[in-house]
Amino acid sequence: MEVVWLQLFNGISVSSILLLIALGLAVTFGQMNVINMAHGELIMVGAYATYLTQQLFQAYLPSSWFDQYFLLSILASFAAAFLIGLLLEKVLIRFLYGRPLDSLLATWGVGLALQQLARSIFGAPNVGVKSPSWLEGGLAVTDGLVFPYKRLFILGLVALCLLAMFLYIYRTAAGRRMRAVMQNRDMAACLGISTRRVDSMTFAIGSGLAGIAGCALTLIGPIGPSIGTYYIVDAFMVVVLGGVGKLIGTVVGALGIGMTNTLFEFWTTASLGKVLVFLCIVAFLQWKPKGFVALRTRSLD
Amino acid sequence: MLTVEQLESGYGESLVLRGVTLEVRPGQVVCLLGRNGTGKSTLVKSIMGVLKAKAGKISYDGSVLTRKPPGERARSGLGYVPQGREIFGQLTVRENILIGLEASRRRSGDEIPPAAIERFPVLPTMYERRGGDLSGGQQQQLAFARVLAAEPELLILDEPCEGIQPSIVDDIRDVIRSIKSDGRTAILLVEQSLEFVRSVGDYVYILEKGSVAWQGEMEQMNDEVVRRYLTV
Repeated sequence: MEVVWLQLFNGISVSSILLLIALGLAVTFGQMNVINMAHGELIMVGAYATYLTQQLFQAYLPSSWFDQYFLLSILASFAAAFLIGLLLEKVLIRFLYGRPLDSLLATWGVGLALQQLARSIFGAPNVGVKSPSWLEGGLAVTDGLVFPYKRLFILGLVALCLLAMFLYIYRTAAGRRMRAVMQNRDMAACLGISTRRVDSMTFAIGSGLAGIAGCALTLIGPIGPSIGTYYIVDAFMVVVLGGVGKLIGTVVGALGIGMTNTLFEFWTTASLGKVLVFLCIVAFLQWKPKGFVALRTRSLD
Repeated sequence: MLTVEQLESGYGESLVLRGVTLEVRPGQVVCLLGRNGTGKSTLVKSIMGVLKAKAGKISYDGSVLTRKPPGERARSGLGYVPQGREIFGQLTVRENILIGLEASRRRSGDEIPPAAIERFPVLPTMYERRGGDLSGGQQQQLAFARVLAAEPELLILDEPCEGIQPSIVDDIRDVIRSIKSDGRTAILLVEQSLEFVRSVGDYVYILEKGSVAWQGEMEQMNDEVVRRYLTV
């Protein structure tokens, strides 16, 4: 029984990280119809930003402060990925709006370039990030069942990001502009919205969320230049499965992929589990070709 | 105030407008007529910037708009009610009107100005409903409230009475008449009903094959003109 609970917990944990990554992808695909293959590298940016914050703390600040570095590194990873995303949007992505296939190729190239850049700066081997001591250990529910604090922390972090995203999209003027552009770009523009500004803001925020995901990944294992590529395919499947245009679709998609991944791999083997997940997705898309939330958006018609 | 000179525009490779020249003066109601497919909607879309002009010049209040994005045109005082209304279906009625405020030059936060809705008493009763759930006539009223929120100086209306029930058509026409009688807002009106055009219009342009075939004061538009350019 405990094993099942643990697997369920792992499934939710995997889902939460996927959700954080897929949120950014879903908004850029839904709003600008751009497939951003470099999204995985923004995860890497966030992860290395965390690593750098740690190095700075170790080098320049008293060791008693070290445990607090992680809170700061969440902000640092968001800021780093946000700024790189903004730059990327200004110099490249904005020329690719509405051209999904071109954007796929171009951002793939950007991703490779960013990976190589990281290799040149930090070296090819993976680096480890030391977790703060307050995240060591776990919450013992019963004798055999321990939920690691790190995983619980990530869950909380994702819940917080999701809440922030929800408030931003549905409760602020900027979010209202974003939804208007997503639903009807031309009309939004005719009513005075600067679609350029909304687009770059949306892209940068999506990138920033990927950065936070990278920061969370440093708690789970060592990080390297190609860390993003492990997650990008699954994240795209979340977007396809969930549909675009509403947050809830992405949440359901992430839960679907994360849980089936974990459970199938537990019941069968790692590779057979993956095959089964793909089969499930293919079957689901036969039933609902537009994903879980089929919001008719003009950009996709 | 709005001048269009030798405008050429169209969709993709195909050219629809071939050298259109037109002018709207402050407070004037200018009607744009013509049979189906003569370029009326293409012209208003090009004026708003939804379609890019291939040649020619569009200027408004002395500044050249030809290469400006639609958002900037809206913020300089142009308001647009498109054919088919184009309400944001997933946004609430309130949010739809607040989006209209984006073009306003004196922002008042998240409050809907009373001037926007005074002519549509039914709208405040459905603020929290989604725009997509409204009937066609209600959506048309919402489209008007949305564009009036920014207090535009020039209102561009593309067939505002198309596809809605007759009683609401009368309401919409009353709204257009009252905007005209306020005298603060000029109107560029695309409309099929000659009788309505005669009752509100000051000046008429008739398009044929993408260029202006006839223009003149409303009184000059006699039966001969109508038979030649408008009857099918």
